[in-house]
Formats: sequence, C-alpha cells, structure tokens
Amino acid sequence: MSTYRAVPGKPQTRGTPARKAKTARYPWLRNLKRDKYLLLLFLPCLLYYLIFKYGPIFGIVIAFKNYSLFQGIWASEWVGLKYFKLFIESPDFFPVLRNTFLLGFYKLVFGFPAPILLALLINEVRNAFLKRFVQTVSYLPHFISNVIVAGIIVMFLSPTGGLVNHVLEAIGLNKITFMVEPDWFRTIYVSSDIWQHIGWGTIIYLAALSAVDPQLYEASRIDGANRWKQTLHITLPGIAPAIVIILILDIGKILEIGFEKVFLLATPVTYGKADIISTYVYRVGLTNANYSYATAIDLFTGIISFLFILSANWFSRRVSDNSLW
Amino acid sequence: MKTGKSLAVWTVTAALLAAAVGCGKGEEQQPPAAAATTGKPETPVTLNMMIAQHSAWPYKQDWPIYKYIKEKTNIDFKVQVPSSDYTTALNLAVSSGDMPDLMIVPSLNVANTNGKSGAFVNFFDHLDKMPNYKKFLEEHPDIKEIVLSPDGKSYYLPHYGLEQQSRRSWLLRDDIFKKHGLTPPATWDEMYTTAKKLKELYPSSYPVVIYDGLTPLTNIAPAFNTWFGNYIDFDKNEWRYGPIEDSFKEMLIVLNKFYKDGLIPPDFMAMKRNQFNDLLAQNKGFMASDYIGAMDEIPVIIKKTPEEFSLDYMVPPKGGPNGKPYNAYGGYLTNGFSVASNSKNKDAALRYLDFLYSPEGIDMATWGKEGETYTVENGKRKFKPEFAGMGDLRTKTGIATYGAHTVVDMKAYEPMNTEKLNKALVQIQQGNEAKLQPRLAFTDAENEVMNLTNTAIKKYMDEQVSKFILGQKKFDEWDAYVAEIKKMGIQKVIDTHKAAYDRAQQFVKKK
Repeated sequence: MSTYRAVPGKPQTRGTPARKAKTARYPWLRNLKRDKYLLLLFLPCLLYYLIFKYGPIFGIVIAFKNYSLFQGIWASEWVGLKYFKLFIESPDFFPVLRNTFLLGFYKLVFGFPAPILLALLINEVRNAFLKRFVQTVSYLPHFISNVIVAGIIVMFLSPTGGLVNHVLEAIGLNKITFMVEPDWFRTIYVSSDIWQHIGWGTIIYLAALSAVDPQLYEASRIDGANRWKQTLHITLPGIAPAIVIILILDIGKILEIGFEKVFLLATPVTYGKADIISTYVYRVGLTNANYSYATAIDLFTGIISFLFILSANWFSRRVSDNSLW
Repeated sequence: MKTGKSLAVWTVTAALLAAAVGCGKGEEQQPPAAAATTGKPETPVTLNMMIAQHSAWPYKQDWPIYKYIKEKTNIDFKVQVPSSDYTTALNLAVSSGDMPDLMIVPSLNVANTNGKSGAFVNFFDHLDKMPNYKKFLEEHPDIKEIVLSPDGKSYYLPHYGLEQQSRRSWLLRDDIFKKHGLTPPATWDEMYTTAKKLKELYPSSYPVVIYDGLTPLTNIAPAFNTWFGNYIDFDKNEWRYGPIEDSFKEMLIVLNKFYKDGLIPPDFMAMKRNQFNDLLAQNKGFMASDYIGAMDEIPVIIKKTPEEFSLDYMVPPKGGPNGKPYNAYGGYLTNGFSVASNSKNKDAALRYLDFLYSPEGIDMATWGKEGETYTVENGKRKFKPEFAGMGDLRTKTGIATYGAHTVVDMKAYEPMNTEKLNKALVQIQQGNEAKLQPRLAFTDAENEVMNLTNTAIKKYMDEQVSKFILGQKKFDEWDAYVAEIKKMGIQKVIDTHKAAYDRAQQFVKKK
C-alpha cells in the first residue's frame, strides 16, 4: 500500500477561488478529490484488510483468557500469561521450534534461489512460444491443493509400486521406504515445495527483468561482454531490489510453515523431524478445542517472525541500499 | 500456523457478525407446544437442526424419512449441513449464540465442555418430559456411563445400534486359503508360518496388510493381552498404560519380525485405504485388519465377483504367552445429540428426541413406512427390492442417517448383508472381543493433564513404537524408553483416568 502523492509541478487549475482557499488549507482534500476514482478502486482492498486482517487482531486477547465459546470473549476469565508459560515449559517446545525453524531454513536456502535461477533461464530463451510454455507448465503445480500433492508424493515414493522405487530398482539400487525414514522427511518436503512454487515465484522476477533497460545490454555487447557477463553485471544487479525484498519477506515467513502438507506427509516414525509448531497447535489446541492455547502459541510465533523480519531488514539496510523501509 | 490463527480469528469475526445481526433472526418461532409430551400436538413446529453427514449418503432435503417424522410428530426440520469441518461449524454456532435447536455433537467431551459453559441443555433436568429416554437408560445401564459429564449431569444423547457394523476385525482371503490348503492361523506364530508360505507363493505380496499409521495396533494389542493406550484391566480393576508393558514389547518384537521379512507392507504407516484396497485387489494381501463390514464392502469397491475375490472373518490370532483371541471393540458411536439451552422450541426438541427412543420412533427410524420403504409378507417385514443394500437405503430414504434416528434395530438390516457377514457378526461377539473400555468424562483440570501431558507422551510413544517396529531402534533400548515415558509423567495420566473412572462409577451407582 503506497500513499498517493501529488505530482510536483503538475498545474492545478480547476476550482473556484473559495474552493481553492479551502483545499490550500487541506491539501489532502485536494488529493482526495483528484484521485477519487483511484481511491475507489483501492477501497475493496482497504476493506479486505480492515475486515479480515485488522479487525480480527482484536481476537488476540483470548491468548490471555481462558476462552469459553459460549460465554464469549469478554466474559471469559483472564489468565494472564498462563498459556505462554505452558508452551515454553512443555517438553515439546524446543523440538517443535527447532523442527519448524530447520524446515523453514532449508526451504529458504533451497527454495529461495530456485525461482531466480528459473527466471534467469527463462529470460535467456529466445523462442517466445517455448518461453510461455515453460512458464505456464512450471506454475501449474502452484494451483494443486496440498492434499493432492501429498497424495501424489506418497504414491510416487511408495515402495510397493511407486515410480521412484521402480526406477531405483531398475538401475540396481535398493528400494527406499521414503515415508518412514525420518532422515528423508525434510528433503521430501523441501524438494516438493520447490516443485510446487518455483514457477509461481518466477513471475515477480520476470516482471523485474522486463524493467531492465535494453540499452544496457547493447552497450555491454559493444564492450564485448558475453552472456554470462551480462547476466552477472546487468541482469542480476537489475533485479537485486526485487530479490532483496522477497528475501526479507521470506525470512519473516521462516516459521510460517503451512500445516496441511507437513501433517499429511508425516507418519508417527517421522514425528521427530516433522512435528512443527502448526501440527503441535493442531494437536493440543484445536483437536481439544483449546483455542486460548492455540492463539497464545500463534502470537508467540508471530512475535518471533516479526523479529526475524526486523533484523533481516536492518541487516539489509546496513549492507545494501535495499530494504522494506 | 495458519490454521491456528485463522480458526481463532474466524471464531471471533463470526461472533462479532452474529452480535451485529443477532436481532435480525427472521425465523418464525412457533410457541412451544404446550401439549403433553406424548402424542402429536395440533400446532406444527419447525426445528433448526445441524447434522454431520456421511459422504456416502449426503443429506437430501426431500428424504422421505423427514416426511414420516412430520406425520408422527408434527415437526418440520430446517437442516443445516456444514460442508467440511463439522467441529468448527459447531463451535461457530455455539460462540455466536445463534445455535440451532438440535445438533449432532462429535463427542461426549465436546458436549460436556459446551454443557458446562451453559450452551447445552442438561437432559437429566428434563427426564420427566422424556419418559421413553428414561426407560431406555434404565434398560441399558452401560449407556449411562457414556452420557455423563464430570459433575454428574448429561448434555449428550447417545446413538445405539449402528456401532454394530463398525467393529474392528481380522479378515482373510478364504478363496486363496482354500486354493492352497491353508488353515487360518490361531496364533501370531502360526500367522508367521502361514504368511511365509504365502510370500513364497506370491513373492511380490505382503501377506498381512495393515495400514494408516499406528491405528492397526489398536486392534492387535488386545490379542497380546495389552492395550494401545491407557486402559483398565477389569480382572484386577487397575488402570495401566499399555505401551510400556512387557506384553506390548512382545507384540513389537513380533511385528518387527514381520516387517523385516517383508510380511507386512514396508510403508504401511503411510498407506491409506485406497492403497490398502489396491493391495487386496491385486492379490498382494491375504490377511488384513479392518472393519468387519469391509468383507462385504471391499469387493463392491474394487469391482470383483465372489468367484474372483472373497473375504471372510478370521478369528484374531493370539499373541504371546498370555494372548487372547481378541479384537478391540470401540463401542457406541462417538456422535451424539445435544439441545441448545437458549432454544425457543426446547420442549418440541425434547419431545422429538424422546420420540426417537420410543418403540414407535425406533420402528419408524429403522424401517420407514409400510408400503413406501417396506412391505409385509406373511407377517414378515421386508424392505422393498429397489433398495440394493443398507447404503442404498440410507442414500435414498435418509433412514439411519444422523438427525433422523438415535436408535435403530440392526436386526432389520441383516437380510441386506451377506450370510458370512451375519455369521461373523454373531461370532465376533462370542468371545472375540476384549471388554469395552469405559468412555471417560474429564473435568477441566483433568482435561489439561490429558491435553498436555498425555498428548506429549502419546507423540513420543508413537514415534518410538514405530521405530521399534521398523527396526530403527533396537530392543535393548526398551528400558530407556519406558523410563522416559515414566519421567514424562505417565503416572499422573493413569491417576487422572482412575479418578475420572471412579467418579463415573459413583454416579452410575447413584442414579
């Protein structure tokens, strides 16, 4: 959301003198009038955020209450930090936090560069049809629901007839029972995640790429730069602001790992690696209708995510010119 | 993350919205029928009802069963069917204060939590208006245990009858066994030899098929004279935790042997029902732990004729030196009925529910209506031939679906089963099931122990037990595992069960 400012130097000629006086005193009123159609277009978005994102923030109070559905939020009794203490003191606290962090970290390390690479590759493709084809196919998986993705993964990796194990056998290797080997869990999760979202992720980079000035390429060609040098010295710096902003946002999302896919891919034997904050919330908070506890855990992780974003932004501002604010 | 926050958040949003529009409830609320509780009152009443539905027979507005109910009780229903997550939908209804008059609740615990906060009616306060239910309770003393709240009230009306079909059981491919002259194994040792033979005959098979995480252990443990979780040993009247017992270890050693030799599917924990069905259909599995009704259902699902494919009942094999030929019996359905405390039609709702427990109501809920769903020939009732089976009957008429029954007479549906299933249903109840474990009602403090300590222990136990079975952990580490579970506070959990059980026993004796 960016605030809309008057473009300096643009003459403002309409309006009676009286009105002019009024709008001079309240410059925002003038902007409001001038941009009314843009603002009208923006209104649904604003309402969406107010109703669905800001309004419900009020509900956070139930983290500090013993929330009873029927009595409602205000009538429920206050319990202070009880649920935060419960979470921090529970034996699952560290394993769950570690698993969440590691899974998010691997996802970032391997999943973040993947769309950039793909975008660079797509950018080098000359044939327009091939380019569009690759783009479309690569972002299709983004629209498959996690339930189906998990089903596909389980079937492909099954030792009793899964494609991957057939291939392993055909080339003379032993079958691997992927789904019940804890050591495979993160690999499966992260690599399938890359497959799901790589194409979607390229969209923003391709947009950034199209904004790079073609004259720069021409100039560099005259100077004798090959394709690799062009990529290194023109393309990458050209999309660096986009990369940094996405990176900062992604760092903030390290702990935000969707519940569905982990829950669907986990088996009891992989709990040691696959039990993350959201599955924990599900188990102790939601299946037992313990909403206060669930909210407290969420608030806790929200605060940690916020700290991640703050420090990533601070770091980026220190070492480069790019940052969120 | 998302789920947690959005659920809580949605609850709140919905509460706010409901508060805003709460006054605009435009339903025509008929004054409660002042007439006597029995008999059909003159003024028709419309009740709002929220039900869970089975995906195989989704609710239809024109189901004839609701017509029959109207004829008998003069009650119309406006039925709400939440599309996916029933518990969330119910919680939203409760938190908005705009509850339907009647609702299906997913468990006794949910009913008790909401009952305690004042959302649901305590049926024990209204037994004078529910003579049929009162009589039903007197005739079925074991039911009383599963309807109580921790303080001796009752916010939950039970279902009775349909649980018969959902018994866990062992099944075997009797056609394959006959073909190779094999006899059903009586013990897990014999099962091992039989499975070995079958594996030689069908090298790519997994003769014993189990699936879906560790759920099969629920049904295997009783045969080893233990339990997959907390349980009461009725002989000694003592609460114990199964997964740390020596007999449980014996079971894991046996399962590990089966796993190592490829006699159970290597990925059984990740397998779901359709993969289980596939293995059976491809002649890759010959003994299976599933529901007893599966012997009739699976051939239909995988489209095989009785000549190609046949499943039959298998007596559970005994395990270890103290083994018993037991399945685990799950008991009554967990879904029950509750009535909203702020309902304007409380009397009508109670009258309807009481009717469902009356002989007339049970008869209607089971059979429907003469001439429409069944005919009488030579004094014997028969469902009309257009109903191919019980599933078909439920799909077409709504008979025996949630909302339209509490009690059904299962004898009526027997002619729709195969003969072998009817025989198996009799056999399984004659010494092939461990005694039903009590269903406990916990207080808030006890629930906290269950939610935190027990949930943490269960997760640790699940993981370790899986590793023992898969051989990722050696059995020398068993003692360390037991010690860890004790350290995590299993005694507190056992004591909680005992306290809740003893309290319930007191109430049962008193009432």
